[in-house]
Amino acid sequence: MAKSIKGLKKAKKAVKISSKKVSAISQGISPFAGLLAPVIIALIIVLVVSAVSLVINKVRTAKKAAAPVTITQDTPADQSFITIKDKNSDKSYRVPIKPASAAELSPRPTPDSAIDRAISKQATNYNYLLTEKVSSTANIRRIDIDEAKFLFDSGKAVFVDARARMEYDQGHIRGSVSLPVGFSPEDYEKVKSRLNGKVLVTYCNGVGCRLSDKVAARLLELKYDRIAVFFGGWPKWNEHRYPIASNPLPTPTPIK
Amino acid sequence: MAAKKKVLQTDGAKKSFSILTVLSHPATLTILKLAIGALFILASVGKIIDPGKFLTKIREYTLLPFWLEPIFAVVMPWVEFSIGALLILDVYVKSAALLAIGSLAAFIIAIIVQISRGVNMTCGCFDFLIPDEKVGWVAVGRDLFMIALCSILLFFDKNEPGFYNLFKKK
Repeated sequence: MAKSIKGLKKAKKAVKISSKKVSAISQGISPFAGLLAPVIIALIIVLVVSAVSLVINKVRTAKKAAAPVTITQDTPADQSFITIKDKNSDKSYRVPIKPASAAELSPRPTPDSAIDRAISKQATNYNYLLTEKVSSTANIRRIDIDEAKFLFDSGKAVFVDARARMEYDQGHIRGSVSLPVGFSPEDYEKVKSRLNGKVLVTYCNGVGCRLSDKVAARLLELKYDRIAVFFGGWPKWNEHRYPIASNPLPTPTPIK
Repeated sequence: MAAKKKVLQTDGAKKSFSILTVLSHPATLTILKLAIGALFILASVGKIIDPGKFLTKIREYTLLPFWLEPIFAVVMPWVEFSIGALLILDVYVKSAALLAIGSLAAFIIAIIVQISRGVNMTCGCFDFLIPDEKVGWVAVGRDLFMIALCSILLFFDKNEPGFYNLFKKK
């Protein structure tokens, strides 16, 4: 009995020693020991890096704004291309020009109009939005404000407001139609003629709003195949101060 | 009986001791710092070179307010670059690991929100390395794994300008 008690005591001692070793190691590298200092240093790093990055970005933007549009003729005069560099996007465009020729009768385009044509043709390269077809909800494109504006300006798109009718009446993208989520066949019949042959762009309240996705899915079921979702929605359109409209309030009828 | 108990009890202590030893070993920490640091730098380079493209990607997520998006597009890549540089140079590793965990957690939240929205889009996480990576649970799993690795650095490394003790006086 005494022997077993002694043995137990020895075992307990051995366990205590080994667990002391483990706790000694873990204490030296405890995750919560002195976490305040790393947090403060991390915050300082973020502040310094943010300030530096904003300054660098400002310098970059100022340099780009100061740089002129450069036109270089990279091929001999009888060849048919020149290179134009756009200072804003930092992109270069190869523009075909007609070489000088005694037989040429049509007037050569002026440099300014050549630049305008090249930049308008190649810089805003959103023409795919007019032709892209959608076969399932998975490949309905989500477009940003620039793409939405392009479609608005093209005149080949109709914006579909997925918000409630009341919100639509208070303000909507100019020219848009109202088809709230769960729209009735009667609502659809009223606007159907306006949707045919157009790219349909659904929108709602922007961040976190799924109404536009739901209406887009419904339009896909109705066999429309050129659909996009403007994910920035009404708030983003407003922020950019693009054209909007509202419906007049109904005239109250006097109570007799 | 008492001897059996002793073996069972000391065995557990021995096991935890060895895992801790492996994780806290300087070689393990060095490899982790270099690997994670390099990943963060590679992830940031493409975004620093073309912040416009990164801004378009942020806008696709539709999570931040309009006014914050351009600021985030400019600042975030540099923060990622700093995290990578600090880890590789062995400077304030705990702070860098904290920042890494914070940014990875933010990316995970953003990806999960897009998954819940049912959005089909590219992640934009490592455009330089994996340009067409889609938003999905694979990206979430990868980021969780990286958080686990950064946690090892947070728990077991020091928070001082170490430079791998190269400049320490002997």
